[in-house]
Amino acid sequence: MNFAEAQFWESLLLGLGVAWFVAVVVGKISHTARLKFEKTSFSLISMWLLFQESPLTLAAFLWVVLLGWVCLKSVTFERQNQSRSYLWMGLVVLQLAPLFYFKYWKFVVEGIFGLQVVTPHALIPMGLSFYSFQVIAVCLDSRRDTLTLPKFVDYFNFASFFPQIVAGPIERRKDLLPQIEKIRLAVTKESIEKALPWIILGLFYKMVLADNLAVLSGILVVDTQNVYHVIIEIVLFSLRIYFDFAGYSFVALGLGALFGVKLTLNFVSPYWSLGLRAFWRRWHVTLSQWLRDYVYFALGGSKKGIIWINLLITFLISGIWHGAGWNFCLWGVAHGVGLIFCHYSPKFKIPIFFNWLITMTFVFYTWLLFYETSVEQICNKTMLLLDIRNYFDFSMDSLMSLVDNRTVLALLAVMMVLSLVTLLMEGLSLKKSPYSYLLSVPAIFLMILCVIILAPVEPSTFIYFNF
Amino acid sequence: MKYLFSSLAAILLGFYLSGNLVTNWNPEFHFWRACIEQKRSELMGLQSNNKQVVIFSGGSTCSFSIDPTVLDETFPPSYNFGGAVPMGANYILSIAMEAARPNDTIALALEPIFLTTDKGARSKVLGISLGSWDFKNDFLKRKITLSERVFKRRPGARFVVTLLGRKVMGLPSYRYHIDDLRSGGLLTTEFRDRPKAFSDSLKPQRLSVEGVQLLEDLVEEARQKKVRLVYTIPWTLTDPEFAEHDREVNRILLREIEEFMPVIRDPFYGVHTNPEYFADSVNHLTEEGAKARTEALAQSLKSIAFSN
Repeated sequence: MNFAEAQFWESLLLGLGVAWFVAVVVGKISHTARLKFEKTSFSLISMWLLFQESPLTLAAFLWVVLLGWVCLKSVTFERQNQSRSYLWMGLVVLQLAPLFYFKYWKFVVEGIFGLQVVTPHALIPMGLSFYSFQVIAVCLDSRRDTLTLPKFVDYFNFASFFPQIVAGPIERRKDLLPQIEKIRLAVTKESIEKALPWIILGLFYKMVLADNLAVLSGILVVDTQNVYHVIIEIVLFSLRIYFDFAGYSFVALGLGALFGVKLTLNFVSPYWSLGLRAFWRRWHVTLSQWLRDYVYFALGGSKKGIIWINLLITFLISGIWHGAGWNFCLWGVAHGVGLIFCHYSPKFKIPIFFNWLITMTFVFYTWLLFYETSVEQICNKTMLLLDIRNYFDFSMDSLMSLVDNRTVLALLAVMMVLSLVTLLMEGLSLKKSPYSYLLSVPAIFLMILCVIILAPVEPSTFIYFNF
Repeated sequence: MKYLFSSLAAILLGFYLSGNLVTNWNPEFHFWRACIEQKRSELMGLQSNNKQVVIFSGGSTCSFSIDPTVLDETFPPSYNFGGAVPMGANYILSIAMEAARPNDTIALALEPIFLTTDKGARSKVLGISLGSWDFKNDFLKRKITLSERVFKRRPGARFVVTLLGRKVMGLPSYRYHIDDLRSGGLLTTEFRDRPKAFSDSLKPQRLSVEGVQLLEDLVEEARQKKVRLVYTIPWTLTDPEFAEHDREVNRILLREIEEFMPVIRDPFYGVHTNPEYFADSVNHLTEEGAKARTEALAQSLKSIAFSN
């Protein structure tokens, strides 16, 4: 289910076309039946798209979602029978089982305990972390807020809504379910006008910026002893991961809007954040909110206990959610420590530019912890970056050894300029509304041209697909 | 409806520009189109005078490495029908198969990357563009879909940057010229890029799923057309330190390929350590290198392909 591949759009159009045709035929018999069919067709389309990815992807999805339904039913049962059932807890653990097995089993048994046992050979089923969290949240919300049991078809559509199923946003029951209950298999002129700009902006971020930066990352000859090479490597990854993930989220937002569903804006120009707290309010917004509500607040937040421990645990979980590896733990802890520092440090009045510069230096550095899987390399590169003498050892020749020919250098320059112009327009848009200049008609026109002409012929996959 | 109309206009303009960038405004396309036309016409001339012809087929490593003019009279008439890697294996092999007549031999001097990587066999931008010009839709049992014609026939940023960069810097629009094509189909170049040998040894190579499919399709089509197939691995400039290791890696791959067709084993096993034999890349031979390469495989080829 890669939005950057023609196959996804072909499958989607085919699925929607068939569903629409059947809905029209059913509508001739009964209007109520048509409405029911339209809702069911969303579930069928989502399952078909997941099956096309792999049968395992669909199987893992059905396991989590159907157990989620049993979990919701058990909440109602508990309430009606005034009992304190531990069945509910068991069901949540079972829902998390595929996530643990595919994502963490190898790391835990080999990385932590050093055991040699059988580990899964298959890749993590696409979107497992995202829909697992979404389904668990709906169970938690329903239990906490004594909410009624939704209809099965609405619950299934909520859990499987194809625009956001594999890489978020991780939506909450109160935001998405009421919209899903009213969903129709219909596209209007208004919905197209709302959806198109977001879809195009997303494809531009993903296919033009992120994919070309990925191509560059693959062909640059990085000397790990050269501080400037390492900085360029970090900057490239920092830009790439943002454009990659934000791009996916914007397409998801647009696809949701096509059917009248308003999904959460998962990124709000995070690289213009002043301060780390602001960054986490604007980067992967729905995951941050999930962790805040179900982990940080559950630990006591800033009211109970020791705030710094709560922050550290929350961000450690965030790191582990992103991947099974010591580097992800380090990444999470680094952000936790950064936020603790922000929380306890005296409130200095720092000029805006320096505030931004410090924040982004920290955020960009921590991406090194994210993409570099070897802890030894992380240490080496960190020492290299911290040793001030390395910055004086500059020569044009050593810098140019990063690229093996002038074409790569030109491509690097073009992509950096295009990325910076895009970020600049994001910054300017913040005075009106997020991404407003980028969503204007002339910008969309240019972005379409860029997608068709500049996107690499072989698309890469989304970085966040396996999270 | 402002977004819808402007999007449709941009899509139309985008595909118009994109299509032209990879064909009409693309010097690489013009060069290879002219090359194929000339090669086809020369090969037909050769075939009209001889009962059987050996057609060498592969990417640019083939184009730059087989010089049929150095073969002696005891060797059947042969022609270098090599193309270029950006065409993709499907296109390269389909035009060779199309050109072959019953009793001809196709000597595959195909780069291993086409056979050992996923999607390596598929037609690439240049192949799809040339296929459109050629009215070819069927590349070795694999139809080029409308979606591929639309979505894959795009240039990409690297291509555009190269094209514009050459214009801005006043460089020739394409490195090779049709005058570089010698009699017999050998492509040569005066360009010397002082190629550096690979600084690492080859990783173990196995035939990919698509590589196996490609070979199966090729064997089936050759059987139907009564065309012989043989395989010869192209030379790559290699650091002497890794030469023996890389030869062993290639030996293993050749054993896999041998399950589909006879393999010509010259003493070098796809590895050469003399940089003087290489022109502008680790795969493109100089004329001298091409002579050495052709002579090295001639005897083995004769014994395998024409023994009965």
